[in-house]
Amino acid sequence: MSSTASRLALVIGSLAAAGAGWFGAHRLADDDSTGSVAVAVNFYDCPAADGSTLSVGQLRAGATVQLLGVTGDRWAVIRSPQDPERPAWVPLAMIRTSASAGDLPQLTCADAVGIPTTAPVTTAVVTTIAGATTTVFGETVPPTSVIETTTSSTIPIDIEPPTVTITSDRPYLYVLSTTPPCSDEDALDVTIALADLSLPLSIRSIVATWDSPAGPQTANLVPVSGNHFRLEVPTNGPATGETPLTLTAKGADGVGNVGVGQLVVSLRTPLSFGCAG
Amino acid sequence: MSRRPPVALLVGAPLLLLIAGGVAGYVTRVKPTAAPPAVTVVGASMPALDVAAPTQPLPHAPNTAVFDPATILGLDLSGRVAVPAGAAVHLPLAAGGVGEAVDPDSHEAVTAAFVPDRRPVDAAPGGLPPIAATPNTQAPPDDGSSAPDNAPPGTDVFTDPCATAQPTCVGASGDVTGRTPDTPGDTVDPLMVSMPLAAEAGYADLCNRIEAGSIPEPGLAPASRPTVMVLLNQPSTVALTGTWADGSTLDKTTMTTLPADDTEWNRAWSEQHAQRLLAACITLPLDLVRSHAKAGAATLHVEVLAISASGRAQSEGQVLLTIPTDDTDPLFVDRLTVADHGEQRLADGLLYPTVHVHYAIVANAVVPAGSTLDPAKVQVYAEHALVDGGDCNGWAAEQQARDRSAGSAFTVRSEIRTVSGRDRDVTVVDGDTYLDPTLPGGWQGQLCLRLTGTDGVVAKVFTLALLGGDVRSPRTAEYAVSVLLSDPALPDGRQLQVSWSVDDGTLLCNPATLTTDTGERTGTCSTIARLAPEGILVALRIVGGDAEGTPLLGIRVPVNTGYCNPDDPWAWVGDGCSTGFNQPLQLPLGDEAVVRVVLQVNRSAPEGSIATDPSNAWQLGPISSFLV
Repeated sequence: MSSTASRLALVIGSLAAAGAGWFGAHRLADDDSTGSVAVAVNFYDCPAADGSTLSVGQLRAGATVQLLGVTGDRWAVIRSPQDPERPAWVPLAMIRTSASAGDLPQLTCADAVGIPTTAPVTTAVVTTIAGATTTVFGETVPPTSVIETTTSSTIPIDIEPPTVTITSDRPYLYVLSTTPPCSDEDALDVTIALADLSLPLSIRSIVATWDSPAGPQTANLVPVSGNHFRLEVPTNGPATGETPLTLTAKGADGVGNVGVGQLVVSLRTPLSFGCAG
Repeated sequence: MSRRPPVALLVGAPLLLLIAGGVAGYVTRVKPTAAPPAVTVVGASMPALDVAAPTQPLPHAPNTAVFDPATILGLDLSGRVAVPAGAAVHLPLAAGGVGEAVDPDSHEAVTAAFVPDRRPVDAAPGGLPPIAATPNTQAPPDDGSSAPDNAPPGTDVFTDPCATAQPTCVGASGDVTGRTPDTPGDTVDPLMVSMPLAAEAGYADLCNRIEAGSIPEPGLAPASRPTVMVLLNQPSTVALTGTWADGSTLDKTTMTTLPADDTEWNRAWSEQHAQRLLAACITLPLDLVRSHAKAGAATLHVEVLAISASGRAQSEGQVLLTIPTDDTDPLFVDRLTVADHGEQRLADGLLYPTVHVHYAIVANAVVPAGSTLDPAKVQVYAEHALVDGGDCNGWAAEQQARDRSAGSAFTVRSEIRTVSGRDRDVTVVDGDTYLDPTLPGGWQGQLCLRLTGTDGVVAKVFTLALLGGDVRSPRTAEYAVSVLLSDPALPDGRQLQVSWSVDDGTLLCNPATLTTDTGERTGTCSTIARLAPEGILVALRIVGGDAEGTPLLGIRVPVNTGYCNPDDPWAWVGDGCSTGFNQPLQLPLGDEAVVRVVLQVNRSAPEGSIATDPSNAWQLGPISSFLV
């Protein structure tokens, strides 16, 4: 190799080394070449569309969150890392999830994020078909700027039994009949509702009692689904007319308090109501 | 003379410049300035919305039973006439005539629209049915398994214990990527294939266009062919297998799609981001269907597998295929057929259980033998009804049964057909009849058709035909949405007002006011899925004190309008059918106070197995003629 060629190779190699050094250091020093990746993502307490809201915390890339819902097509609503019962808002585009739109409720905070500001859901005029009531809901309020709110609520010790409410689809039923119209009304659909602060709530029992010429009678109800039950009385109705039938349900709350509810309906004899046979 | 550079120079110079380049590269590095910033202190102002939170919609929830006919490629919906409940359709008997909605008595044109009775009901006090509580998944303070937010670099990232809990918590898990997607915005919804339908349910011409004559009996009128169709939301290859009601199986076969539709689908997506629906059809040999038919109809349990570029999807259901029979009534060229049209979303946003009606009459047979109708002046009117409380005879002749239809939409056209070797004017009627959506799921009654003829002379109205059959509407799930004020006391005598409504503002239940003062802490609103297909809007606001009308939270509870049965474990797995959820929420009141509420959704559906009892479909009995 000639001297000239050797020197040329030295210069080129040196320049190449300089370029490689620049490129390597440049890349390594960048957090991301595209600028679209962040090590942390802000989450917000009810963010506002005008940017006036402040972040209340950050989640680092790779964090796993639980989505409670979404707000429009922009925000995921997650359990706040600071308080799991407190919703927090994170850009939906920064979340990878397999959920579909039908899996999650849409949550709209007071500032109506993601909803057109001219007609947010909570400011819609709500009218009834009957035309009797027109109510304007939810006038927009100035956005709140909550930096950090650490609050907790304490549920008092529950010693109150749950409220047990029984409703039926009809105030009466007939003893089983094959003759219309009594045969159309010889089953009673019963719904039991429990109300209490301490969840979960559960139905303990449901029973029907009445008096007949043969003495006191009882009948169990058949579960239909959830808190719906059905009652049919095949025999031992009143001799004539109707007699009170009492439905008694018991329900328990999450700490074991048991409540009782009752509903009285009429048990009718078909023969007395024009249903012969 | 040539001298080579010294070795020290050969090694040192590149090394020196490598270091120098590295220093220069570090100095000139690109600093992370794009949003969201790599390091943001708590309390930083949110950047512009488009930067902080670009739109990234979730895929739509699949629904194999409800679809918008207007999005089906190639389906012609022009010329449909809206017919209010109780009105009749004037059937033109000459070519070129059009149908018209008229009063059944005066025969004057009518345009009144049906408005279902959607008056709100009172919210039930109490009513939190038992649903298993969300497990407490909060990590102990010293657990260390979940780092809090703002964790310094190098520590573990936050993991919500709920995301890995068994049973899982309410909602869905997700991972923070910190990266906006490469293709932000809309993405194609996952492949969905509809429940199988009989093409005679208004899709006969569509399938005729798709199959383009490649069918066993091309001479058969499209509406008379035993054709099965499905709808797809992506171009796909579709295979069909089936089992007849007598237990014999139908060999696996490939359904036909139209390449031109695939091209149009791609164009609509690329230009409008509109994901249209495509049809796939298969016409079965008439002899094959006839060998499994009873009373002119064969029931086929169909299983469909679709494979697209992005995945695969399955569906199944029962299809009633009717075949031409030698009817004795000379009036009908095509006898009355009633087909399952599922649930249709109409302009008011509600889902209407819908049946498709098809028949064709020959014009020269509309004057009954022995009548005194003037053949030159005779006009024919058709009434369609879904009745209960009596049969079609009671509805037509004795005014006993009650029409529960919500209206109809009909297409009427006149054409020339060869009937018994001669060209005749034939009037073809195709239409949808809607059931009142406020009726409970599983409504049972009869679909009735009455054709009357008159020549304009008073009292000269003859019933030409009275036909009908038993029907049972698709079931629908029930929703009970409860709100519990789960707080020891609201400050300053404030109260929590809850309202339940749908998109157009119609209240499902009257608003409830919850308070800790009087002890009324829960309110429940019950409704059915087809009255709130877009979701149940629950609005919470604070009233009373100095916070009159302060909005707290709006919640759109998603409604699963597909009939998925929680009592069927396979439906539960296959459809993702949920019985509801129980979600406690702490909501800020704006003055550092919070209120704790619990939202509970209870979804229920009657027992039954979809495979053996297609609850999400109409059950249609055979059509019979009533003596008049």
